[in-house]
Amino acid sequence: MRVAERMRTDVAVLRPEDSLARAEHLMRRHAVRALAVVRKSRLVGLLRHTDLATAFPSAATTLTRGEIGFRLDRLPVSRVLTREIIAVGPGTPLVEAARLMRARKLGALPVVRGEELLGLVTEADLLAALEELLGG
Amino acid sequence: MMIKTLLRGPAVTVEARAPLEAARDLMSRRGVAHVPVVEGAALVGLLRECDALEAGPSSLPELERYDWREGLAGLRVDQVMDRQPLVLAPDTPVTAAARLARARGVDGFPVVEGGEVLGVVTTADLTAVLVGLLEHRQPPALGNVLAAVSLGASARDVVAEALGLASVGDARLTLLHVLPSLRRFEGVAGVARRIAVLRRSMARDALESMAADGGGVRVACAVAEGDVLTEVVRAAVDRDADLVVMGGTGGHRVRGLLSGSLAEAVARRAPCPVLAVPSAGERRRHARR
Repeated sequence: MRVAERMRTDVAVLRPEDSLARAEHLMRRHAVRALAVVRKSRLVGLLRHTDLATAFPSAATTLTRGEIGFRLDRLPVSRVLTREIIAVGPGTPLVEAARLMRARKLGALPVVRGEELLGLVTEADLLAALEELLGG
Repeated sequence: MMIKTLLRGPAVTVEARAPLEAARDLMSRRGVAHVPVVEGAALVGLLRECDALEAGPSSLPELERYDWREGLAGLRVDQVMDRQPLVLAPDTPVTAAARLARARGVDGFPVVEGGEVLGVVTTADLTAVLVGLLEHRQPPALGNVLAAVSLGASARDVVAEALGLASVGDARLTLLHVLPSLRRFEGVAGVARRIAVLRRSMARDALESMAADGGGVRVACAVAEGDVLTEVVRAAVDRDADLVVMGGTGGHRVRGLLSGSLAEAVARRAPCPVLAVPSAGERRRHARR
């Protein structure tokens, strides 16, 4: 079973200049815990949900809801991006991708050919593979 | 397979009124991203690492400067926890847990039986099951296969076997032939050199013709000179071979060994397993028995 058979290609990507608010919205809508950040179809990083959670104002902030929204609309993804690029090729065995995601605690793993982003393998894709293997 | 098989040791729990800071320390110390929250023994919620991070100070100075520090220090677990986590029974099948995690976008479930908190099952535990299943189905790939080829009658059997294994294992294959040293001609330098070059190129041609119908396997051919045993073991080490394939018995006489085949001798010294392929004659003998 290879990564190419399991990756999703219909998932949104972020640009480094996209806002944190947009990133949060896209993660929620696509139900993924990480999104690829792309400049001209070249992968430049991965934004994890934990990066967002760490950046967001604390529960004891003195900012109002409106002020928070205003700031998150203006802070770019590039401010909190994981610059280290972790990605696999489409021919990588799924077991390798799963091991990597577990070891690095990644909710999603970009699939690339060269520097070009082809898709994303998410934790949900791994769970779907597990259900199939167990005959669910 | 039930999720109770994924639970390890006694559950790590945290009291609802505990300071959030202490709970975060506990999580990082125990390397867990989920902790069931209890009041006495009863489950009242689930604390997730991502919620704790979100409640904690911002990593961005322009947001962090608006934090009310005393307020941060006073945060308690029950102000941040998920108050209605999906709870599973220990007999829940792994498949059902995976489906639920996927459908509901949940990454961790408290496991409870008879009011007692047994632990947490996370998506990381579930994907560990996947890794185990896939490893079982697909053993670690062979990277490099080395086939020691004699160029005799059994050579094609050895190459066919090696090609088959390399193709299944997605491996690189090296065909190696070892020529005996040319000591006898040492006196006549020119002749020796010509013969050496000629027989090397003949051996290489023979290997390349056998490699020609490789069917997509990446094959390299190599010719060495010297003692067969030494050269095969050396090539296995140099080429980082995961498997050596060679003729089974054959009439090789191995220096220093009273009995046994060359394959046995290689198996004793090589850094990897050795597969001895029986010749056609040996197969026929076995078939008659």
